[in-house]
This record gives sequence, structure tokens and C-alpha cells, in this order.
Amino acid sequence: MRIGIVCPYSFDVPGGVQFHVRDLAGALISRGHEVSVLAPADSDTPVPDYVVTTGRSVPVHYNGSVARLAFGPMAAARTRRWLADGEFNVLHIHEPMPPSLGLLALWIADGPIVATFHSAQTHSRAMSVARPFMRSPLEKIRGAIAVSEDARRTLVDHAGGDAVIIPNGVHVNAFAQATPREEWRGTAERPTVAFLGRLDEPRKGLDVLLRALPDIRAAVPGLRVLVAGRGEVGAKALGAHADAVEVLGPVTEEAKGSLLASVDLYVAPHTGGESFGIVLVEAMSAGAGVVASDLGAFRRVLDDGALGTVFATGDPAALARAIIGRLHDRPGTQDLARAAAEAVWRYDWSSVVSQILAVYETVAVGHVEEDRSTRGRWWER
Amino acid sequence: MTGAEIGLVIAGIVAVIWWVIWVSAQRLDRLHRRVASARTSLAHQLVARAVAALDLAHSGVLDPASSIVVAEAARAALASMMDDGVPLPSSGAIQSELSGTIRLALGEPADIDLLDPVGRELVGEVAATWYRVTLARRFYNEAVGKTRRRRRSWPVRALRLAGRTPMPLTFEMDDALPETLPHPQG
Repeated sequence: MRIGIVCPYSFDVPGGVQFHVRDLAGALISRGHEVSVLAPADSDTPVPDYVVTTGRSVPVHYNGSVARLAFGPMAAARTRRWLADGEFNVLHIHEPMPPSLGLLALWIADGPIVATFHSAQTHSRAMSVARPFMRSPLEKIRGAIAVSEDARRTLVDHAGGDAVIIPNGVHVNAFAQATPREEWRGTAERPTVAFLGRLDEPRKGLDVLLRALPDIRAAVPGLRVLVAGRGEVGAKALGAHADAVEVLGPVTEEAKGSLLASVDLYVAPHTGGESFGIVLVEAMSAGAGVVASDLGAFRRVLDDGALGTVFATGDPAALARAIIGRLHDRPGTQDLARAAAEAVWRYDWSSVVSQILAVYETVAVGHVEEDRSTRGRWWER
Repeated sequence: MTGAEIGLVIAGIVAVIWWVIWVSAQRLDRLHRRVASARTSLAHQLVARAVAALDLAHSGVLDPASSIVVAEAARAALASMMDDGVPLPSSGAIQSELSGTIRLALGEPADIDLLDPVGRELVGEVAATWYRVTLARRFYNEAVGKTRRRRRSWPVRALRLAGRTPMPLTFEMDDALPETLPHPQG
């Protein structure tokens, strides 16, 4: 199949949607499909050779955070040309709602269009403003995919319409076979706990973990907390517990796998805004025990506590109890981690890409018939 | 106002009305085409599932009683689809019966683990086509929902933009995937 994929966020900065698009394209190519990805990126940003860039993107405040988006006549013209040159059997647009390439492609193209909705938002002014403009373009989507129940609900509430749920993909083996590093490995006396994510973004919840430290250290004096991610942690935030916290800074994908494969527990103290929880799946694949806030997305990944421990979101005392419980019951934690490492296979790319291909085929089959009887494929407005 | 000005205002109003009608007609046409292709795809996937079920029934993998019942249900499902040689999803009840029959015939997950490679491949084919049925039906009903809502809007009703195209209906059937089936694979 000839597949065109549109990514609205710039490849200049790493992000969940960009990684998803890159891995999906790779998985489709390895199954013998022809793939072209349209994405914003600066000319000096290294991108895989299947990526067609639309040039510079602009940081825009959208939906509560800053995203690098591309729009304007230049972006529209390049999108139009890419669509005309591509002659795709299926067009797959990621995040069609933000005002970027996804929306432009949806506006220009017609035909077998699949769209994936990644984000989950309880309320957003941007979406309310966009609603009347979105109704007509959204009608063009023939196969809508949501990455989680939360993302599906966001789509239903904000735009109307339904979607099938296909989770985000993870290369389970890459994490299951990651090499642990001795310096990060936990022992009975000195157990290790990992935190991953932007340090200065409040919703990632580092603050909740730091406030839980006094209680945890009272029960587990040897505790080591390994913190990985971009951003700064102030010395004041660490307070008297600086000796227990090791700040690793940003880590590579490979180091992330090693970290998760080495530690006793991965802690996800997020306070909201999470649609799926891909890091949880990565930690489970690597064999780490998981302690996470009881957000809907996390509870679903952890099968309501059968594959890991959940605690009341934003409550340091509850987080402390959860971590102490897991660290004091090492055999029980290992049993949970083993069950989790088995359960994550349903998120493996091998399974996820099959489901996405099934959507492509479902959407493309009807279109072939229509093509024969009525009109050309990429009829443009 | 002079006559020319009045003429200009009237021309403007006419242009706006024409534009609204044109956009509405185009949107409705697009939705009708979307419903048509979603319906074709749904029919295609239902036929593929019935054929896969028929293959499974004829393979000797299932016990004789299950084979007969599944084959009968699959044949009925196929027969209900054929109208002038064109497959059409006409009866949800008959498709639901095929779903129920396959579910019973497949038994427990342990029973599937006992199958030989050929049996597992045939069951996998049923799983893959069934999964596509659930997708196609979701997409079809979604297209129908959007179209019905559009057809209730004022420009479409006032100007009868839908013409003689019949109001599309959602397709209801029991398509819940059996827990026993292996995870959908391409």
C-alpha cells in the first residue's frame, strides 16, 4: 500500500506523537509498504529519509502548552503538492485538531482518510473556539482511531463522532532485552526508584514524589531516587533529601531502557493530562514494578492494580504508602512485574501495526469500489 | 440608495445564499459518498468473515456438530448478503447468529491451544476478518450518524439537497469479538 502520514508537530523537538509517527512508519516499511511522512522540521534537523519536511515551525500556545506548529500559505502549498505527488491509497493524519499540517491536509484532501486522536483534555478553550470550523473537515475522516478510552471520550465530547481504540505501540523487546546497569540496580538495603519526564512540568508530578520522600525514607532509609528528564530541579525542592536523589538529566532511549531494567520501581506521580501512559508500558516491558497515580489512563494500563500499584493522584502520603508497601514486599513486587511483562505484549508494535493496517484496509476497500463507479481519487477542492 | 446600490446589495445576498447552498451540497455529497464506501467495505468484510467461517467449518478442525452448525450459519450469512449479485449487509440478525455460533464452536482458550498449525491459521483468519467487521461497522455507523445529522440541517431540508437518496440507516448486529480468539493480526 502507498501510505501518507501527516505529523502536525515539528521533528525539531522530541515528543510522543513524533515518536509514534516515526515508529509506525518504520513498522509499516518493514512490512513492505511504501510510506511518506509529512512533518514540520528545520532544514538542519536530521530526519529519516521517508520524511518530507515543510520547513520552519513556530512555537504556538495551543491547548495549555507550547507546541511547534506549521501553518500559512507556504505550509498549505507544500501539503497540497505532497498529496498530489504521493498518490496515496490511504492518508493517515495524526492529531487533526491542532492548527497545523494535519488540519491543512484534512482541508485539502478527500478520499480514504484515517485519523488518530492522541490527546485527552477535559476542557479546552481552543477546542471550543475551533468546534464550528472543525465540523466539516472532521466529516472527511473515514476511519477514526483513538489511542485510549480517554482520547476517545475527548473526541466524542468535543467534536462528536466515534473512534475505534488502538493503543500506542511500544517495542516491547527493546525494553525487555535492555541491559541493566550495576550503578542503577537496587538491592534489599538500597532499593532504587526511577522517575522519568520533564522535571519542571508540574503535571509530571515530581513535586508529589519529593514531598513523599520524608515518609518513605523514615521506613526505607537506604532509598535511592533516580530522576531522568529535561529541566532543572532546584536545590530548595530537594531540601534535606538531596543525598537520596540522583539527577541524571536527559537520557537517550537506550539509557532509558537500561534505567527501567535496573530499578526496583518506576514511579509515575502524574497529576493529569495523560491520555495513555506509554512510559508505564515501557517500564512494564523492562520488568520494573510500577507505582502510578490513579488517573483513568494509568488504571487501564495497570488493569486496575492487577499489574502494578495505584495511589490517590497528587497525594504524597498515599504515594509514600504505596512505595513502602512495594519495597517491603519484594517477592510480591516481582510477581506483579512478571505478570505485567507478559501483559504488555498487546501493546507491542507487531500487534498494534496489524490493527492499524486493518483500519487502512477497511477504509481503502470501500474506496476502490467507489473509485470505479464515480470519480478520481484525490479530488481537490 | 440608488438603483445600482440596491442591485449590488441584492447581488451580494444572492452570492452568499448561493455559496451556502453550494457548500452544503458539496458537504452532503461527500457524506453520501462516504456512507456508500463504508457500506461497501462493511459488506466486503462480512463476506470475508463468512467465507473464513465456512473454511473453518469444512476443514475438519472443529467437531462434526460444530462444523455443521457453523457451516449452516455461514451459508445463511452469505446468502443474506447477495442481492442481484452485489453483496449488501441486509440482515443484522443473521450476522449476529453467525457470531454466536462461532463463539460457541470455538469453546475455551485452552481448546484453541490444542489445535494444530493449520487449525490455528484458520481460526486466525476468522479472528482477522471478524476484527475488520467490527472496524467496518463502527466506521459505517459513524458515517451514517454524521450524514443523518447533516440531513436535518435547514439548507439541506429546505432545498431538498438530498434528492432521492434514501436516509441511511445504521447497521446493528452482535459483533463482540470472542475472548477466546487470538489477538487480531494482519
